[in-house]
Amino acid sequence: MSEGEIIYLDHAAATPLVPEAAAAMADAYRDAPGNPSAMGRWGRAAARVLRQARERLAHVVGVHPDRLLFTSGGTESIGLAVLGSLQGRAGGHVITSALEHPAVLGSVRMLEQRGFEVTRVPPERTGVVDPSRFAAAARSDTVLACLMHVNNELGTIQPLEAALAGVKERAPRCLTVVDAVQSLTRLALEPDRWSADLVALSGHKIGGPRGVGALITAKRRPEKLFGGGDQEWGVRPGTQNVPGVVGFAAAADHGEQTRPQRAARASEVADAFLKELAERVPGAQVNGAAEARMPWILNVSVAGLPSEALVRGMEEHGVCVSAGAACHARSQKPSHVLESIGVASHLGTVRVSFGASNTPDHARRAVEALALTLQRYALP
Amino acid sequence: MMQFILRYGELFLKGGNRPFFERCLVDGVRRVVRSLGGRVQRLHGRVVVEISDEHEVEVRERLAHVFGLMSFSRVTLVEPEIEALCVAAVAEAQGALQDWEGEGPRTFKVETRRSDKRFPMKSPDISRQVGTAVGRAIDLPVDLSHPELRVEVEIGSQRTFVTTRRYPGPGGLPEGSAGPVQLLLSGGIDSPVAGYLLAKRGCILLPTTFESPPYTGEDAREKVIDLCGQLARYAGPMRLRIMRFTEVQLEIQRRCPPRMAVVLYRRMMLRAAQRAAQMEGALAVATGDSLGQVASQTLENLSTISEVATLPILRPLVTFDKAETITLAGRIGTFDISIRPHVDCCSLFVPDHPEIHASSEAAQKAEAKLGDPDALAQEMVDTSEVVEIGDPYNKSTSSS
Repeated sequence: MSEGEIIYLDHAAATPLVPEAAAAMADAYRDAPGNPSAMGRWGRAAARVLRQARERLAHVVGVHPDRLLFTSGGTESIGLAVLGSLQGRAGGHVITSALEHPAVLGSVRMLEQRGFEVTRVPPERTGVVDPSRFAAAARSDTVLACLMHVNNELGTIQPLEAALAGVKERAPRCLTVVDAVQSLTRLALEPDRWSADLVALSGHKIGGPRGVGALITAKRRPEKLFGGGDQEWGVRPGTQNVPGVVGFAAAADHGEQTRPQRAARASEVADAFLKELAERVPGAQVNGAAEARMPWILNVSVAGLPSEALVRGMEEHGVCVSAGAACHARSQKPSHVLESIGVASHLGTVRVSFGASNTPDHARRAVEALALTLQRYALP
Repeated sequence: MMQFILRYGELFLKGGNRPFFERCLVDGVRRVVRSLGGRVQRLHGRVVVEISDEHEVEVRERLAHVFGLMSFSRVTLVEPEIEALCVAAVAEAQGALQDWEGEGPRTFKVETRRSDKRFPMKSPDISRQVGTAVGRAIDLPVDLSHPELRVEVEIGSQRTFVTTRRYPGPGGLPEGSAGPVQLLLSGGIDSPVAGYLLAKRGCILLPTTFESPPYTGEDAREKVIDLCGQLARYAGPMRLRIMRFTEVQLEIQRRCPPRMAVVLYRRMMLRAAQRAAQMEGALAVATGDSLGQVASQTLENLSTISEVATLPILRPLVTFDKAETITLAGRIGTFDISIRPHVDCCSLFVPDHPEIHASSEAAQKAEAKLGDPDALAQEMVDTSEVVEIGDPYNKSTSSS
């Protein structure tokens, strides 16, 4: 089967480059081949393109350009926020949720090994963290709180405003970190309303290139994690990926401008999926509460087949989805997110995530593929 | 150019069939040296490879994989005259000293083999005269029983040579001299080793594997293909037959007692492999079974499984401990591939308490629920795919 015949429903893992980003990147490759830190004409041209990209992305996300750091992606942005903010500190208390992306959990684990105390607030069965429970974990020595905006496996939206404001009330000096990788251009990004000091973003989830991310910082930036030049205010040394950030900014701009139409389409596609699912696979369970989900991501569990077999079986019918999140889809370990909300471990689970190119027909064909896979291969 | 003299072992036992075995051996040698531009010639009881100097390390590595070879040596060819032999032996010995790893030899010996009786001196006299020259040049004493450096002189009717560098071959019988065998190959540790041992005894490998998509994935298939690629270093290019096992496996799961599942899987695999074997002219079916290693490998179960086959079933690992198999797998380069963590169909749907004494009657009774097992096996063969595993030493012929 050729690539073109695949119905791609794994946009939460990576979504194809939007034409606007590709065009902007081609221009940058052609017009700004220099090193933005170099003195010569080419260097100045590259620095100008970099500045414009920063301004463009800053405008889209509604912050001053000086508060935007470019990185290599979401994981680095989160690492810089979590570890860089606490460089030099010997200890303290950190709050996060059990739902977080491995980027957050991994960095927090490193803090724990360095002597920090960590509270991991479990989510409710709805796939949402109770904001009062999250806030109640705060103490006078709490130095950092991390909560994601949208969970990457379930699509559930977390109550950032209530949770983080509650933390700040109890621990005013606590820094707050938000992983907004899945929500950028899908939901409104409002760091100030959320009381978020640092917000991590990524390029390839929104139609930008892979290998580029950004971190919205507070006035006081995190400290660098490794040495080098003074790029990105010395916080993130190393030559910037100029075409990459240009593509990222273009994709973000395009995504933000088309957000209402795309959101409406995503709802339509998700509704078609859920309606078809209820008819064709009545035993299926959609994880995460309906009222808390954004329509772009659906997480579906069924009995009879393990997750990997479901994914391969659906691919036999030309539909590409993932088993949990792509970051650990190959590990075959049960997802920590599904475990944290009590999804039975014998169920097979697929994550279906929609993108701009998907239609209700794609959604129905995905359900068809799921139904046929179960019919053909499931064991009682 | 440099010359290697290759020696073979058991072939002398083969009487009237000796030319056939020699031809197989020469073919095996040609296969590995062809892409290096090597020339292969057959002499009396020896094979000579002539190859450009730059390939010395590579050709040694490759010859170490050619079954049927007992040993091989890089040699200096000389005129069959005693003075020339002395000069060449001194140069060889000095070269050996230079390349010696560690502290260097403390004693030496010259050994002569004179098959060309026209040469005017007898072997002990040649050894003595050459040994005197060598001893004077490298200043070492002679030790006739346990020499650390061995200078070999061989005077044949077509070639006379001197060598100090003898390398071990893998032994066994020449490539393909025994005939084709259908090898049941999983992604595990054992069956590739069984394949290696059969190839060592001259079997042409016809590997067959089973997969159960979507329960097993593309990565499991790639693992088996890579295992075949590694075996092809020893056994030459081969064709991997891939049979789809999903439906049969699911039917067994749905209809038969769980305790019997593993025995029934193995009976179905064996039936299908035998049909493929007969279709391709294989003379036997081979597995990586080791007695008592897992539940399907008790004597009772092996017997109940084997009864569905009429061809002989070769089980070269039957007496191997797992540790022995692992050691050999490591040596032949299949272990690192085998331990890649992919699910294969043999490890799917394995019951917690499998039957370890499955009787023939119980297996037949359970199988009756599947309808016609032979028809199912035939369908597995009919719908199978074949992947060509190219010769790793002659990449252009690869088409996998």
